[in-house]
Parts: sequence; structure tokens; C-alpha cells
Amino acid sequence: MTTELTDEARREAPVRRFRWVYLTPILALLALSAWVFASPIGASPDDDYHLASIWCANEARTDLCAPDSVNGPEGWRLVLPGITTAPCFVADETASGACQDWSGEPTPSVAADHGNWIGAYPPLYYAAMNIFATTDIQTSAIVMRFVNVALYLAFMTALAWLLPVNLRIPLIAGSVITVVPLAGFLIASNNPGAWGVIGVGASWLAALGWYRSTGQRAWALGAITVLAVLVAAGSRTDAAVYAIVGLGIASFLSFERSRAFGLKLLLPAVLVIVAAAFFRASGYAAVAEGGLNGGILDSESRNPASVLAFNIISIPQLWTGVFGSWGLGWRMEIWPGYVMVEFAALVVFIGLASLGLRDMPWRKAVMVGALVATLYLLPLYILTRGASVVGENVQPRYLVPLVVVLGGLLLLGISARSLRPGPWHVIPAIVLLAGANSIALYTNLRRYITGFDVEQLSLETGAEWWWTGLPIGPTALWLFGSLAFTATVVVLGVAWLRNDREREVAP
Amino acid sequence: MTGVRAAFRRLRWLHLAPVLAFIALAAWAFASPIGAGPDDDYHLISTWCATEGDEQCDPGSSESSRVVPSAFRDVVCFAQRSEVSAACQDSTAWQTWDGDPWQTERGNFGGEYPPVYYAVMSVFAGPDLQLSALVMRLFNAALFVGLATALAVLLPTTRRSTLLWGWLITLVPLGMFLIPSNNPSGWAITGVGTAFLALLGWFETTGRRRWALGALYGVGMLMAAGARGDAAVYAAGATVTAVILTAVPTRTWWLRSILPAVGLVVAVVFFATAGQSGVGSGGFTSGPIDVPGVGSGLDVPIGGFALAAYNLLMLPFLWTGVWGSWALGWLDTQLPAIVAWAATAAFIVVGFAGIGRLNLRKAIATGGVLLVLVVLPVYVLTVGGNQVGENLQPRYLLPLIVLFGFLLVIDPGQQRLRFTRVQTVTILGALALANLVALQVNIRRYVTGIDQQGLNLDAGAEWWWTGLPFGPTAVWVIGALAYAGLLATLVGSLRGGKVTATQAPSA
Repeated sequence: MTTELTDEARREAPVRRFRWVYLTPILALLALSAWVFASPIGASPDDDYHLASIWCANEARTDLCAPDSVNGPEGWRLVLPGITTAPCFVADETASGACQDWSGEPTPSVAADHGNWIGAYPPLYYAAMNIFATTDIQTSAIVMRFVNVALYLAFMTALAWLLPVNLRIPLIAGSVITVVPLAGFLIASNNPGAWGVIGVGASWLAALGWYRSTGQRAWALGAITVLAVLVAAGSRTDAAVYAIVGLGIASFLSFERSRAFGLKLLLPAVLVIVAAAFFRASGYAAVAEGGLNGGILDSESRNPASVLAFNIISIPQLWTGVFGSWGLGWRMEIWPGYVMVEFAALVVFIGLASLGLRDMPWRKAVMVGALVATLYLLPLYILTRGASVVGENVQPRYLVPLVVVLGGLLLLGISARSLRPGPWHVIPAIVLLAGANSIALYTNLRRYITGFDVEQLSLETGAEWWWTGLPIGPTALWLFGSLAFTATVVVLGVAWLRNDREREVAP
Repeated sequence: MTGVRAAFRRLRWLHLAPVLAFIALAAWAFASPIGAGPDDDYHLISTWCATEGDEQCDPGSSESSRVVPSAFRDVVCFAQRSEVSAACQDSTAWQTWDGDPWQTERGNFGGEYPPVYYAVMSVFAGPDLQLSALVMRLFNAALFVGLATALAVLLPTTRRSTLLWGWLITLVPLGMFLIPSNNPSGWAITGVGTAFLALLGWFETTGRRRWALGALYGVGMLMAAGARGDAAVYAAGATVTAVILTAVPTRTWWLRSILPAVGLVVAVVFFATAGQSGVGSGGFTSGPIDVPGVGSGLDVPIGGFALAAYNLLMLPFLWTGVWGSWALGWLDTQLPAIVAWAATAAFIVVGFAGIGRLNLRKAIATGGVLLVLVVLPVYVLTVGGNQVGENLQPRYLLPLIVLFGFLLVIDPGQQRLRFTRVQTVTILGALALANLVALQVNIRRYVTGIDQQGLNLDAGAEWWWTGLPFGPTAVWVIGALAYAGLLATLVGSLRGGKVTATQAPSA
């Protein structure tokens, strides 16, 4: 019944639907562009490691990275000056990005022992980003951030176009309600976490589409599944695991006893093996056995039962970190204003995603339960094995790809009608999300332009850091980014409501 | 026939609800020692000194002082010292009253608070401080349950789920702590919520039922306005919002509106005569209490516009304080993240579903209360030169949040707020979990202090009620089970019973 309707609606679509919603990719590009420029190079967690890894990913490019003859080839490289010191501001919340020092014509001359030549992360992300690396570090890094944003939007747009109509809500709404502030910040960063979010968020829905469509469309979705899994598994060890989880969810939801399903299952099966290979090959796979215990000096003296008990009742703090209970950047400390960001983003996420509880066929219920359990038990295990407690080692950004999947999964409506949000669900959500993004963007800019020791509304007043050569100032960028994001969510929200109204009228 | 039998069976389970609610609240009454409520030394002294000629309260050297047994000072020996258990009470002579007489100005001698709460409580003030205070707590718990039960019986069926949802999503954990306490904040909460619903019923019912509801409105108003100066304002707000929701320009309505008019006059009189009304112009000036977990880690002194902006953006922290992001008691019982997360999520899920059902009146009433929830704390804090986290505590806002909760879940017109079984079970599960954990952590804080942890509360307990036949673990288990049982008995009523053809939502 529903599929007939939606097919019919789709046939009519081109005529009736030149709509603002077609502008979404451009609006979203503008909104995320503001995030690209909202923090200096090195601002996302462990970026000294990631930048060095990117610049050193291709051994043939000796102008970017050279072997270290003094310290030896094992574990050391000579990197361009500026890379290792880019995050000079992270230790002090009142320090701005002005402490960075970029050399005019740099040559690899700074010895570094912190980079992926030790093989801790999968190599794909760094290799791909290396294509855009030049001796102009800042420009290259900005280009890479744009590449990540473009990749995200390319996946989203292609999937929105190819997926069956009833999977578009999980795709788009699921992404939008989880994008502020952490996921948005990561996507527009130099951090491999960007690819984690992009790849995991896209792969499970692409796989679901692969199962649920036929012909060329199915093959196209299959190809996207392959790409998305590679993006995820090629960036972070945990994202490889999440990609497998996503493929599992898609397969479980689509399972049927038929030859056609059995054949289609081959693709995800192969991808699971690929992802598992990426996982096994990376240095962080050992976390699965030993947990994370970095910087825990007294791990011997900690009572394992107490650690476990504390973690059991504190895990949700890692979830809310995705929505802003922890600030962005390296230290994940509480940022001024992020209490409002967290509250607003959480209201939108919980409020809209919980509408999905109205429609819980057993398979969806099982998968939601399994995913929530994973979100609980995975950090619990990793932390407790390493004698760490919530707040140490495991950060919300590790979990954000799975939260994106959870948002989409909850919004998955078998009969789309039951998930219909009313205007008074969507309108408050638009206001809250647009507000949250604006506050998050402003605070993020404030953090790096002056540090948190300046009380001015204008971001220009007393500015200590800004991009040289960028034609617009930080306040203009903030307003522009806020407006673009607001326009994006307004267009999508209106489309959601209208889409439902049309379906309601159709019979 | 089977339908009748099923209905009969459900009715009997429902009859258990008041008993279970009382047990759940009584467990909270036993979960903390006398003096554990914030400023309880003040409130206990005020209670014993409420009627002239009490044996334990003699006139002091000035109008604003009294001479009381030093037990009233020593009873709060553990306040704001999280590691100190309530066993420190044993070192005082507080149970036998033979300690040194102590002259104090800490009490309601100058009329800072309205007199009704203390006058009523003083009925139970006997020679045994511990027993008397405990009886007061149980009386307050019974009063709440009695009023809620009376409302459930008297209100039209459409308002019954409003009553239940409204109380459920706003009381865990802070309300559960305060209602069965020796703190007038408990009456503020009970009174505002009761007055609002009873007045709604006063306009929406007829005959004897109406008069009974009118009487309940009077009780609610007296409780709120008679307990705290700010609660008088909130009670007036509850009156106004109920009028907004029900006003029709008929003679009958005008006649009936005499009752709320009288209620408003009572509220104004109480507010004007209470010394607390000064906070409206000067901010709260209670002693500085260190709030664990508050603040951005910034030591930057801010003022003026920046302070207002900061307070606005950190404001949700005050709201979520009622769901456990703030510590209980003397702000020394920090609750784990899971409590705040689960209780906030339950409120959001229900409130967000409720906001989807909106008409103009509900929009005005809800928007108005939300505006007060934003403007009042930001104004009071900023005028007083305080940041969020200082002076103004979530418990002051809880009655307003209760009112806001009721407004969100109220059904405008024919539309009914409905939840599926999965939704209901998820929400109630979150509430039961929050109550379970909060109760355990609260008891733990007093039996040993937070320096010891563990599931078994009896092991190593340094403090417990003398003469109580069951231990702390039993109180915890019984309380948590009773609350979970209460939720289970309410499932049917919360889901609104069976939908008949005429009741079925048109959407």
C-alpha cells in the first residue's frame, strides 16, 4: 500500500517538486563551510598526530615529509614546521589561535614521533588526504576540510536521490538531528572522525537500500555501500567495527528466506570481511582486549568493581557529549553556552527520535535494543578493562557515528504514516536546532579568536587570531553560517511536513 | 462480559496506586536523616517556634532571635560535607534535648516566609525531634498522595492522564526528595500543581464534583502561597494559566471566576507580606553554597550584558537540576549522569509529544510559563550579580516546571495525547531507573558518606534510624519497587484506556 503510493508520488515528483529542498545541498555546504573556518588548523582532537600522518602518508613526497636520519627510521619522521605546534592553544582555554607560527617556505625539518607511521590507524584516510597536502599547510588543511564536507554532502545527496522514499526520513532527519554540534564540527575538520561519521552514517542506509531496491538503482546503492564502508573502515579502527554493526542492522532488517536475499547478502558479507581486515591491521585493535588506559597513573590501585559501578551509572554522560555537554576541541571541557546547545540539541534528538517509538515492528525493536546496548556496553567495556572511568580516555566523538545510526534507525517507519510529526513538532525542532548551531558556532569561534577571556558580542573586538586573506571577518562568518544552517533546516522541515501532507491527501 | 471483568480487574490494580505512591514517597522520607533538606536547620527551628509558648523555643534577647536546644544547630552537622555520614548527629544530644540552649537568629522570626507551612507542621512538633520531623515528612507525603488521588477521582477522565503524566515527568528525583521532606519547597510543588489542575476541573465539571475541586484549589493555593513567597507568585501563575485555558464569555463563567479571583488576592497578600518578595528586586541572597559540577571552569568575572548572556546560555542547567543534574540535599549529594539523563529524557519525550497537540490557548499558556522560566531566573541572577550555579537553585523553579509539564501534556479540545505501549514502557522504565539510582545514591550519602560505595547499603553503615525495624537496603529496595509498581499500575490510565470510536483522534 505504502510503496504503491510512494512510487506514484515519485513519478509525479519532477513536475510538482522543484522545491526549495533541491537547494539543500548548497545550503548545507554553506552552513558547514562556516564550520570549516570556525577553528584554526589543529583544533580537533589529536590533530598534531593526524596532520603529521596526512603529510607523511606518501613516502614519495619528500618535500612534505622525510625520514629522520638522526632518530632513525623507526618511529620518527621529519615534518614541516608548524604541524606539530599547530595545537599550541589546546592546554589553555584563554589562549587563542594566534600562538601558531607558520613558516613561509617550509621544508621537512622538525623531528616528530607522533604520527601514523606506527600504524595505529587505518591508512586510507591519510592517504586520500595526502593528495591535497602541499607545503602551504593552512590552505591544504582548509581544502581537506572542504573535501570532507563535500564527501558528506555527496553521500547524502546521492542517497537521498537513490533511496526508496521511506528511507529518506531516516537518512536526512536522522543526520540532521545528530549533526549539532559534534558531528558537524567533526565533518568539517581534519580529523579521521569525519570519515567515521560520514561512512558509518551512509553505509547502513545504503545497504538497506541495496536490499530494498532492484535493477540499476540497487547496483548504484551497492556501489555507495562499498564506498561508505571503505570510508568508515579506512579512517578509524572503531569506525570499521561500526560499519560492520551497520551492515548487520541493514541485513537483519531486510532478512527473508529467499534466493534473492541470499545473493544480495554476498555484498555486505564481503564488506564485513574487508572492514574486519582493516580492524585487524590497525594498531588500535588491541583495545578490544586491553581497553583504554592512557594517562591512568593509579590504574593498579583502582578497585575494578568501583570502576565498573561508576561507569555503569555514568555512561550517558558520553552520549550527551555528542550534543554538547562537553565542548568541542581537544579537552572536551564544559564550554560556556554549551549547556543551552546540549539542551536544545537533546530535546530535538530525543523528541523527534522518540516519535519513532510509535512504530516498532519486532525487527526494528530488536535492532534498536541491540544498538542502545552497544552504545552502553562498548564504552563500558573499553573503559572498565582499562581501569578508566567516564571522563577519561573514551570521548563522545568515538560514539557519534553510532548515535547517527541510532537517530536514523529510530526514525525508520515501516508505514511512514505512523511516524508523521506535526507542525508543532517540526517548528520547535527547527528553532532549537538552528539556535543550538548558532550558539555552538559562536562559542567555537570565540574559543579560538580570543580564548574564553573576552566578553564581547562582536568577534572582531580584540581578535587575536583570524585567517589571513579571508575576505570576511568572524562575526560575518558566524551570521552567515547561522543563517545558512537555519535555511537548511527550515527547507528540510517544510519538506518533511509537506511530504507527509501529500501522502495523507494521496489516497 | 469479559470486558467488564477486565475493567474490574484493572480497577483493582489501580486502587493500589495511592498506596504504592505513598510507600515510594515514604522511602524517600526515610532515605535522609533529619536536617538533610536544604536550609533545614532554619525550617525546623521555624516549625518549632511557629506557635508561641513551645517548650523548645524561648524568646531570645531580641525580636529576631530565639533560644532553642543546640540540637537544632547540630542536626545539620553533615551539611555540605559529602564524605561525612549522618552519624555525626550521634555526638550531639539532639535526641534528648538536653544540649546547651542556643540563641539563634536563623528562623522565620521576621516573617521572611509565609507562616502557614510552619504553623501546620508545628502541630506535629513534639518533644522528640527525630520522631516529630519524621511524622511531618510522612504527613507531607500523605498529603501529596491524598490530593493527587482526590484529583484523579474528581477530574474528568480526559484530565486524568494529564494529572498522572504531569506529576510523573517532573518529580524524579528532586520532587521525590522535597515532597516528603521538612522543607516548605515540598508544599510549593504540591500546592502549585494541585491548584492548577483543581481550578481547571472547577471550570470543566458541574455539581458537587465542582465544589470539591474548588475546595482542592483552595487547599493548593494555601499550601503554595503559605509555604514560600515565590510559590505564591507561581500559584498566581497557575491560576492565570488555568483561566486562559478555560475562559468563555458567559455569565456562568464570570460567576465561577470569582474563585480564582479570590485565589489571586490570597496569593498577592501572602507574597506582599513575605519578606522573600525582596528577591524580585535584589536577587536571592542565601549563603553561598558550593555547587559541585557547576561552572565552566572559568574564573573570569563577568558583568552586565555578558553576565545576562552567560546566564541565558547556561540556564538549562537550572532546569535540568530538577531531574538530577544538580545535587540533592544541601547540594552535597551529587547524582550520577544516568539519573539526569533518564529523567530529562522522560520529560522531553512526553513534553515533545504533548507540544505536538497545540491550540492557541495552550500555546499562549505554555509560552507564557516558558517565558517566565527563562526571564525570571536570568533576571534574578543577573540583578544579583550571580552566575548560574550561584544562589538560585533548581528547587525554586520546580513548581514552575511542574506547571510547565502539566501544560505540555494537557489535551486541547478533542485531541488526545496518546502513547503506544512501547513508548509508555520506555518512558516509565527511564523514570523507574532514575528513581532507583537516585534513591540508592541518596541513602548511600547519609549512611556512610560518599567516601564508601557499594550496592549493599547496610554494610559498614555508620548511621541509621534508631528503632526502625528494617535497614537502608530494605528501604531502597522497597521504595524502588513501590515506585516501579506504581508506574505499572498506572500504565492503563496513562495510555488513556480503550479508545472508543468517538474518542479516536481524527488525525
